[in-house]
Amino acid sequence: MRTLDVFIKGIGVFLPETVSVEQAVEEGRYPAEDVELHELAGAAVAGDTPAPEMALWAAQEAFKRCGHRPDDVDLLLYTDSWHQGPDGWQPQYYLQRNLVGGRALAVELRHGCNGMFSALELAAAYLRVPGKRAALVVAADNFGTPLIDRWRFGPGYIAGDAASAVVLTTEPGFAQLLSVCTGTVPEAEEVHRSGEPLFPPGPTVGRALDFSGRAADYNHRAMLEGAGTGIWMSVHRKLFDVVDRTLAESGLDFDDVTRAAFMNYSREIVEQRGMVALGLPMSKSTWEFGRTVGHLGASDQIVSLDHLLATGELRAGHHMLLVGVGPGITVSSAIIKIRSAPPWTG
Amino acid sequence: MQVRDVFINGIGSYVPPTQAVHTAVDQGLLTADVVAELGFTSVAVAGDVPAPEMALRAARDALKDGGVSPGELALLLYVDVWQQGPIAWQPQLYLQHHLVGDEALAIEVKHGCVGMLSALELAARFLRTEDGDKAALVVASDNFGTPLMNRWTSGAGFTVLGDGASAAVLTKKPGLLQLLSFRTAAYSDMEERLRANEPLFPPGITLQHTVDFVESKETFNAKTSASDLGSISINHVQRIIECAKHALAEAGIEARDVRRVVTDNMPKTEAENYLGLMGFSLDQSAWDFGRGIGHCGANDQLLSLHHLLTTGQLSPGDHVMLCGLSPGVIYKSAVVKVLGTGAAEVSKA
Repeated sequence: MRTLDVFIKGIGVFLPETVSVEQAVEEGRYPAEDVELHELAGAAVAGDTPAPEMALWAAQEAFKRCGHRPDDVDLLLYTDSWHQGPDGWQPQYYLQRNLVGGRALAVELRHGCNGMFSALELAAAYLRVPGKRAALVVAADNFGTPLIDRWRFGPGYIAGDAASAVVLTTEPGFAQLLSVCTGTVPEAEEVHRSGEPLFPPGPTVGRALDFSGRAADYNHRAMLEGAGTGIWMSVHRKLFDVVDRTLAESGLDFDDVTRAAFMNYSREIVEQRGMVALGLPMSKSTWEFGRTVGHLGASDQIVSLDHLLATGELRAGHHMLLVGVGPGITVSSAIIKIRSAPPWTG
Repeated sequence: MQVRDVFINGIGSYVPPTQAVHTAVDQGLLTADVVAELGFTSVAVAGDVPAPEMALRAARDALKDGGVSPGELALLLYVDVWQQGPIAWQPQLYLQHHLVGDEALAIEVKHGCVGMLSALELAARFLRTEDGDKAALVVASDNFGTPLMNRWTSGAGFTVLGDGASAAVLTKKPGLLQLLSFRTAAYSDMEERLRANEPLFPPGITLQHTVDFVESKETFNAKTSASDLGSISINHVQRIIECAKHALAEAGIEARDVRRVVTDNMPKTEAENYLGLMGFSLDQSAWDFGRGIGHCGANDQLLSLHHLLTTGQLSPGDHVMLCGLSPGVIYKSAVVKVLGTGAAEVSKA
């Protein structure tokens, strides 16, 4: 979706202290052989800070940095990929109560680690309606709970905790959202649930998350059924197509990409399945930063964007490509153009 | 939000076989007194049919009813209030796999029991940015027959829970119903009311906590002063009234122009009070239908609307209000106008 009429006015991030993989190895929580294999350095760990609290802090920072009034938003989209609080209660209510008030339509969206992209796309569509001017999009997750082991989150990634927030407006801001696109390889839907029944739902019987086990089960079945690795070729092709479409909608080419943020996965995955697949050099990736904080649910790309803005690596005229691959298998992509230095970086 | 150019062109429903409420009394799960007070006669029980499977069946019927092919869909919003499948997996992916394919943006939306109405609102906005021939599919589904949830007592004092799925296809081509307005309000002073008995962290389900709204409500009431509870109650009522009033105004009609009202399947007295505040009677609602299936999460309004359409209780020109409440507290009202009665097919297991 072309989103040329939508601007980013503010960004906020809450990133807790990190724990190194060395420490995790010493404590027997991370396999020593994975250190060299994946080249990951650590994970941000929030302790017992609730995810909605982190979301609140990130959102507060986003508003404070850009001077936008929190109660002057028409839409709040709260996206997450893990459990947030008591069941039957929803985390966006916490932000309504403590920050944005009751005026905005406030909904929780779940689209795995692609949630931020989908929220940006829905928000951009929402802001096209005359009279609607601002939206807050927030992502937050704290993976330090039962039923998940952050150090064994999945093959080639460990889970970090974080929150990120974006204030979108129709009035010009320091950055412009040029395009957001999504594509799916629906025949790969079972990759992220293989080997488990649909009913009763896993959380209700205390079954912990095991992405590695599910992927292994899927691959095993695919081999038996003779499907082999065809599905991964489809994902590979879909990734290229979706990014290509995003660039075309933005009026850009692959060469125009200044930096590209993927999920914070192992070097091999980011390089081979991400950068190489798109014909981009690894030096344009955000892997060096991402490897230090872990895979932050739906926050990876915005936290990386915030990092590049803070370190001055992104400047006026630069184009940032955000890419995510998650369950579905869903591929999401967005292009952000930096128009000027963000007001908070001086 | 005022709408005029988006339409519901097809509706699908999946209501599993019902179980009489007296069977729960026989099993000692509810007392006869409570049953008499609630007014429910039976609830829909899906057994071990997964919620995403029910959603798929309702979605297929909605597409068929609306004459829309999966390839025409630009958006799929999947609404639920309870756990759907394997942890950290999402139910909309199942519909992409088995029905919708890879063109549409497909997202899970959670907004409590008003989730379907909020999803319709988001989808209506989204469609306005798409080409004229594109459509959106909105689906809701829940199966409460799982561990950690008790359909008979988790919401006792509120309601009893039924299972089911419903789906609507939205188009920009005129069809079955015209969307006229959506209104949302929130009352954050009551934000803790349905979570007061649990800490925010770790999330209850990761500790295998059973949902207990009754305990939560009692905890909230115990720690809130009587005078605060009094003013909360007044503000709550005002928001119910105003939310409905604004939705009617944006639809360009008045309460007396509303033919029928579909809302959450609440206990009889509660439904009468809620409807009365907005100027409606129980007879105008679909309560007689709702009392036979229970409170089906975010499905109630669409299932009731489908029921009214397929049983000849609505005619072209009629206005229907869709409204409800959700923890948060969230208030939602929407107005639609009947353009045709369609060939909405009843899908009953």
